[in-house]
Amino acid sequence: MTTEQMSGHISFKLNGREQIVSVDTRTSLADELREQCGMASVRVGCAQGECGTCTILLDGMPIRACLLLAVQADGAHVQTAEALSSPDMLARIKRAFKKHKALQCGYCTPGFLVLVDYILRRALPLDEARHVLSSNLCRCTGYEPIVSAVADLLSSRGDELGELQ
Amino acid sequence: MYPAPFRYHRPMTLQDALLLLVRYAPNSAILAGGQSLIPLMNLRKVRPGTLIDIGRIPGLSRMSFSDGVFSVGAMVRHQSLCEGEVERLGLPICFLRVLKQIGSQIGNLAIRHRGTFGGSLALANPASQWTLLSVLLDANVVIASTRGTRRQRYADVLGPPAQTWLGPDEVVLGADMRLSNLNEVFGFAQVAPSAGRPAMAFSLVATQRDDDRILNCRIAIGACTPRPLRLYSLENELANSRRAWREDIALADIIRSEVGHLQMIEGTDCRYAREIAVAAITRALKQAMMQ
Amino acid sequence: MSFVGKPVERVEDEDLLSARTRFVGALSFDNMLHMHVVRSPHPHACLNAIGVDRAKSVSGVVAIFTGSDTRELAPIGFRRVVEPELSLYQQPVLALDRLRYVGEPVAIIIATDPRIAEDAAELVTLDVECLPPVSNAVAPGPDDGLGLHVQEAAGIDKSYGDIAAAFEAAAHRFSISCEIARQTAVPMETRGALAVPHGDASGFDFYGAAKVVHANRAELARILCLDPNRVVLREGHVGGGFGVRGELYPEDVLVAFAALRLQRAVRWIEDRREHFLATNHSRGQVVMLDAAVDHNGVILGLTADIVADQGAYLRTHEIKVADLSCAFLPGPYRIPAYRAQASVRLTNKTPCGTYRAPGRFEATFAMERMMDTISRVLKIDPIQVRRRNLIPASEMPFDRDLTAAGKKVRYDSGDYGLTLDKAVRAFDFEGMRKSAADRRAAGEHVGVGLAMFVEKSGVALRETASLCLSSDGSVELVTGASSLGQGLETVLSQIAADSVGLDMSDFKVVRGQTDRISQSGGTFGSRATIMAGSAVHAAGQLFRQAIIKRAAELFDAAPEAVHLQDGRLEIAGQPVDLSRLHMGNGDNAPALKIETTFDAENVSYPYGVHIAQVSVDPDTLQVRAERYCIAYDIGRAVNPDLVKGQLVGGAVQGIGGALFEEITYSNDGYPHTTGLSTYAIPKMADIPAFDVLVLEDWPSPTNPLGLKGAGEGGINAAGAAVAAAVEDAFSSQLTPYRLPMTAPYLFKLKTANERRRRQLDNLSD
Repeated sequence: MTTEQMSGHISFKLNGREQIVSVDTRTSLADELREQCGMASVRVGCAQGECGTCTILLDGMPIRACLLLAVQADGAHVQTAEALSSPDMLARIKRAFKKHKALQCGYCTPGFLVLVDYILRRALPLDEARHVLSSNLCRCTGYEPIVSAVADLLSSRGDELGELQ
Repeated sequence: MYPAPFRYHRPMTLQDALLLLVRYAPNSAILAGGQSLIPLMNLRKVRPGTLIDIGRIPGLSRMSFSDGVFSVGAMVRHQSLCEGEVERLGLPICFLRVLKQIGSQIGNLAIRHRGTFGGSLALANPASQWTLLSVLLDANVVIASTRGTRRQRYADVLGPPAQTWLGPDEVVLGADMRLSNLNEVFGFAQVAPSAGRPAMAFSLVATQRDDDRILNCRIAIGACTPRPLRLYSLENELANSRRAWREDIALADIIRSEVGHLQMIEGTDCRYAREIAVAAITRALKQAMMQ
Repeated sequence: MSFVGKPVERVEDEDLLSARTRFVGALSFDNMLHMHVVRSPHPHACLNAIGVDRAKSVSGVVAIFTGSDTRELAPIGFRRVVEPELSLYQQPVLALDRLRYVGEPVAIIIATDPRIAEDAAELVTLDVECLPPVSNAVAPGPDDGLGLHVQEAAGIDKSYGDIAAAFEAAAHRFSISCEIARQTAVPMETRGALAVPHGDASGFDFYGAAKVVHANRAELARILCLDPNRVVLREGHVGGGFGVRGELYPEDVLVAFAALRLQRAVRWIEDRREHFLATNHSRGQVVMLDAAVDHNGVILGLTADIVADQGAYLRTHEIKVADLSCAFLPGPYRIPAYRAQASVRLTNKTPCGTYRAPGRFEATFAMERMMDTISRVLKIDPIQVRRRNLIPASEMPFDRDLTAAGKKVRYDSGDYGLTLDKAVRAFDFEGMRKSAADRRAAGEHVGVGLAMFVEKSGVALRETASLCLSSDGSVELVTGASSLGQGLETVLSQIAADSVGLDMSDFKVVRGQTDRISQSGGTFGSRATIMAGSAVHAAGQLFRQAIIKRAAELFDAAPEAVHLQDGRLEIAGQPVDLSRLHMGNGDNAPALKIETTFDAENVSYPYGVHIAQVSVDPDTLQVRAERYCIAYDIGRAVNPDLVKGQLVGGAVQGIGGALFEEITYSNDGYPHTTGLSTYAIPKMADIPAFDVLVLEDWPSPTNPLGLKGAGEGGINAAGAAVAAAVEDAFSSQLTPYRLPMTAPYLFKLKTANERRRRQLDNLSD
């Protein structure tokens, strides 16, 4: 793709739905998702990739949306915290976050929800999960209730699997 | 915090990329993983007029291990060196383990899904783990331009801190490193203010041993130095002494004396930087010898 | 069924988790313009001229304003009444003829797109003459040679008792000098403001408001010469505050000014680099203590000398932080004679303001380091030495004989010794110490430290709340207080539910909208639950009576036959939907609404104990927090989980302040810490295991529910507790007196120590 005019058309899937948009080359995927696509969960905390507030799933993998140009998302499948990888996953993770009060101001929460989705899909052990969660910054909760929520989700996933057997 | 305006190109072949690089020189830049470039652009510390995204060019993400040579393509993501295909290349187990150990300390998971091996080598940030690996293993970097493809020892490509001698029209295609002896054991240690933060000092060691004696070893230090360095005289000292591995004051003194000759990176507390360099080297050696 | 006291789930969470949110960065209006602030690149300079012509010609730029356009605007004032001379140090909203810190607003560019505005900013030229900056608040030594002197904006002097006599009688005298580096709050959402002018330029709606919306409305109206009723501040969702967000800043005035001038909505979103340059810094104190002590370690007298680095201007909190340090240094201790002097000094750095437990994080650090020094030198157990100095419960309420920010300090209730005992027992402090000692014997550097503190909460002693029955039977609860993420809507719903007799879910909370309620003190100083909660409680009781009366009238029943309990209304045994009461006996019936104002008797003073356990890597001197225990008497906990959330969140911020966080400038005034890579806030990998004990032994007599605040109880003593633990990890061979205790700092201490030891060895040879 060549954008001599500093803008271009891209098409990508957003939470399962096809999007065709015209984007300025300078627009980050984070800004595009929030301002043009109405995804209020995608926020910018630093525009340097350091805080993880903007974390979304790109083809199933957590990435920093502030460090991806919107034009680079052409042809990709993007999932945000509005949907995560499935409605069931979203419901379970929300329930755990509520139960453990794993959020206060909620600004950084979508980025964590995305990481937790990835952690559960990969069924990571808790210490690896903590390592992954250390990617993102939170200033309100002190992280402890987020760990509790994730530990709860990981152990109840084990229970579910146990029941299936 | 928005970048200055730029043109964006996403060529589908390497040749097109190289032509674009020349056509828009000197204000053109390669966009690989973007995890280092885009933050700099957002701060307007760099302002390329043209970005050439090489992410869709086939053939740049290959990895292979044959005849003792480990080849890594420029677009191989950091995370791909920690898990997945890399585990099926037949790499020596000890090397694979240290590769994962090093890789998993780069940035964080989200950065690792996008950041690239080639990008690390081209940017040569002193705290970049892959540059340390490339220096230790005497890697050759493969460089392409419209004038053709060439190879050069990566250690010779490194210039002043966070700079290389690569030309503005040159692109890193990947690097090859020879794993000289399949009985080599590896150790890596990093000192950072806390987990997940950029390293202040790191060390990578590859050694052949006979029981608990060091035979031949290769030792590299970095992050606290302007570029990663092989510590040749330390290597000779340890190999010649054929000493039995013991983590004692004598060893610490030898290492400290070697580190004392090094030029530390500007802006650090030199005395403290040397202490943690000693700690990193000691721990890396220990890990290798305890394998 | 009672809601107060239960750890119910938060009512805020469903919207936050579903991204049904209104953070200012997602708000947009038709025809909206974007503001970019051009900032001083110099720490100190004469500003001779600003060239904007090239910038103005960029396509998409609508207007550029400089100091000459805003010269007539009064500077942002102080939130409390202070000496008039202090107004000399207020900041013009755009620089006039001087630049005083890197980041100072110099011009604003209004454009159709924020990227264009930033492009144009680069074309603005500044004609300056650079001046030598003042970067060190502590007076330069005699051989400084630069001819600079540090400007003192104000001096503070507080005292009580006979200091001279105390030092006369002292068996021992201890002097320590403590330093707390400049630090800042770093909420995850940067600041933002959006002004939407009303059609006739007589007013505007302001989004991105937080913390103290009524105070800010009044101030904005004053500066812009508008009727305050035409200025409407609207709080949406707010991504954390911690004291630094929500004070009125130049950018807030500028956004409104531009919107009014251009008659279009104008939005400004701060970027993270700007945030580190332009949002209030804090801490930044040197505290020198001198204690006169008897044989038993009892402090007979204490003097404190504080130098506070205020930065380039006085902001809304003027010199209050240093004032609070002076007032709260004695903490939970008797200290029969005391004198504190503080010098608030101006430097060419970002201005400072309040940050969670302002002045108190610093004061507790210094005081507790003194207690530990006394303990160490006199060889008295650190618990003992504190016990001997604590104010006993029998002396409550305790008049400190000092003022804090102009108000007399009177500790309302508490038994500090009891809480200390409970903490020591509940966390098995002795067991922790023994275990650490065993690990040290085995070669590890592990230590345990304890610190005590008194906090203050519930300031600004008036608050209004209203309750109004809606047509669907729900009750609209209106408060002017703000939510910064702490769960305000939940606790107010809990209190309202109990006082009215309804279910929590019956309430819809409206907060932070200045046009919905006439008065509020806002959310700061841990006052919201106490003040808004007490106002809601009072309103709830009246509202309940009003419901019963209306129900009795409507259904022609005796008031005794009306039962309102657990969200169910029954009249003469028949269940009745609340919505039936909405319109009364016809369309002209008055709304069922109560608005009431609550006045608290006084400020309340929660208090507690922190215990930290750390291990230090002997080679790299990096400190890792292993365990952290907090015992905190909050008087009465409306929602124990939310109290715990405040304590743990604050403690992690405090650990950051104890170990990692430091804002630094070069000697020539240029900031080093302008991002999250250089200003290291704690990550999940840095947190210890937590134990929290929320106590309700001593409710506050200042309000009917007995409430005290939680907001700052987690951070207050963290610096002190972690420092004590680090000292213990080295068996007191290293004694840190500075925060943060970074590895290079500990390395310096260790090297100095070793050098001293070698000198002593040489001397003894």
